Amino acid sequence: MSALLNNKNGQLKIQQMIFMLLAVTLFFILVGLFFVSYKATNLQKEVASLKKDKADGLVGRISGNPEFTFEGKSNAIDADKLMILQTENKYTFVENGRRKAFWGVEGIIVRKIYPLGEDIECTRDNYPDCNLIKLFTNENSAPSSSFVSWCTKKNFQGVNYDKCELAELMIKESELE
Amino acid sequence: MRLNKKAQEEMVGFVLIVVIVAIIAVIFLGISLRNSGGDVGDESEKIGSFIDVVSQTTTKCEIPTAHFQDVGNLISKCSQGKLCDGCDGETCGTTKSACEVLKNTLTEAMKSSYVVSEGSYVKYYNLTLYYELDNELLIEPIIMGPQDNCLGDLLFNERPVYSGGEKIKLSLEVCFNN
Repeated sequence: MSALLNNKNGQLKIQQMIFMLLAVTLFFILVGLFFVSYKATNLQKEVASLKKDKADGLVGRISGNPEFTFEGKSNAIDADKLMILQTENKYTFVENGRRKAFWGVEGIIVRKIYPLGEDIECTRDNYPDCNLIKLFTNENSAPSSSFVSWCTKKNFQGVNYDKCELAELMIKESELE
Repeated sequence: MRLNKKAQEEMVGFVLIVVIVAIIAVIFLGISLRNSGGDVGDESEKIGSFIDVVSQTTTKCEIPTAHFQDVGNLISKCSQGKLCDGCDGETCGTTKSACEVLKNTLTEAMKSSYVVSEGSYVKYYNLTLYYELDNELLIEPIIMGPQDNCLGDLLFNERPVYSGGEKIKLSLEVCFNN
């Protein structure tokens, strides 16, 4: 009788342990599921944020590129250099049999924002009396932007000076490499 | 006595579970806080680069004639109490001081860069020029929009400008609506 009672007690203990183990496992599974679902909802945001960070970094790198920069000044682009580049229609080139985009962008737009004026796209005929330079694109704006100085060389009463104005550099990232 | 011991064991188990849950929650909170901090720093860096760009913007002030000053140099000329000899190719006369041209340039540059209006992305901005030594203002602060509680992102950055032996700081605070 006592052995039977002991046996029953042991079974009860085993059942108790199994329930406890199940409960703890379920609890951790629930916590894990909660964490995964939270991460999954944020994933889209994180992808967008990472893309934005990458594009912002690219904007910064472009303004410091020798093909754009004005006399080595930081965040300053040479408008004369941009006008030369404007003659390039294609933004892609082929290297080792693969199509690549210049500077990894599909379009570059530089808009003068101070002094403020109506948008006049720069062409060979109206430059420098204009305030919008578009490279490899026909659009008027792009998703990633940064403030830059729009600089040119000027001459007044025989004195050469650098004229820098406040501008916004916008880029559209290329899907190509 | 035996029952008491069993109750104690149960309590220890319960406390253990609570501690484990708390640790998981803290880790989880830490990860989410670390992720959300990124944007603020990035935007502040953008404000820093905006200050750099504004500092190298050429103004209409000529000191001496035909030598156009950029904002960075004009801050220094303003602190020395200089007058502009010419303004954009024309004679300024005694009415236009370096400080006056500086204030006008900064006001216009801010207006065209950060638009503040009903429902706009920017709620307000505050651009200040002050001496680092005693916090004395060089020119009146340029403020646009109501400076009450900023419920969105309040971003800030500043850059030093040197004038003689003195350090002047150009600081900008922008409140963005969410």
